[in-house]
Amino acid sequence: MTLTVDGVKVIVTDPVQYRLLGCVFYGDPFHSAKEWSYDNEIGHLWNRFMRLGHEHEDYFASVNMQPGIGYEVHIEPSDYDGTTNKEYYVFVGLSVRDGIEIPLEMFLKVLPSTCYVEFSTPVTRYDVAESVFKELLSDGKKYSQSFPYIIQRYDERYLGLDNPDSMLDWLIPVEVSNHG
Amino acid sequence: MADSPTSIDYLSWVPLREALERLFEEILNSIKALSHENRLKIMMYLLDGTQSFHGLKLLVGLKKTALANHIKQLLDAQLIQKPEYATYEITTDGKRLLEALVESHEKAAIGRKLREKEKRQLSAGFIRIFFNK
Repeated sequence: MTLTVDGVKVIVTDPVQYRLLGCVFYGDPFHSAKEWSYDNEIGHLWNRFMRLGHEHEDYFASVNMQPGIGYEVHIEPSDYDGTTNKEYYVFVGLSVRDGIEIPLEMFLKVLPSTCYVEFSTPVTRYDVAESVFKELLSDGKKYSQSFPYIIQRYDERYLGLDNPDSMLDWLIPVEVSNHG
Repeated sequence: MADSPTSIDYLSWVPLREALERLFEEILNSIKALSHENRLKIMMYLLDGTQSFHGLKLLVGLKKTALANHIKQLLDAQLIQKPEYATYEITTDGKRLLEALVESHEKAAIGRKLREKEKRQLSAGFIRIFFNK
């Protein structure tokens, strides 16, 4: 199903289960750099993942289900409160086939089977993403979040953090709300 | 927007798909043989050990002809066998099939219970920090 929210094309998918191979960080990603930048822990996480990708180039080529596509999953723990505890999980990786051996320094993340609302925004326009998120998923709306995480998906349209033409996809896990 | 998978990744299921195609008739016959409440009950009781025809008749609560029909279907599918006259036991294949079904359903039940427990929304605090960094 396709919707338009605030001028942004939004797709609601059928249930899908992502199986991702990558690296994980737990902590406050912004303790060292207080904004989205290459210097925060997420930037370091991607660097670590890319380094391992180069080390295991042939292996990645054989297990990667979607070449050229990377996923960044932000998972809110049950004890997160945003004030005294700002630590949460960030997982970066790629989609892989089932039943594979995992490199020692990497982890497999199997996300729940759930529907997603998917939409794209410029990387520099988190405000648009927030607007779409709130419009679609506020109380009383047709869809509600199913699980406490957000996925950002990167492909060839990603041109860097500061490039206004750089695009990324947002995937928000949802279910049809009782109010909808 | 990049194409996103809307169903299970096809490539990771190719070996299963090929095996299913190869064994299609056999699997279909097994499913057909098992797909009746009374035949599943017969298989279940035979897990306890060999049973006579009369014993199964009492356990499953069927009349003679009905029971005989169900037994024939299970025999034809080689899910049960007849070690001696009017006595039946489950075959190794029959037991393996039940094990696979039970394991599959148990895993699914564990998964469902886990995900039900994990279902919740992102907190307002998380959303605020995430989008406004």
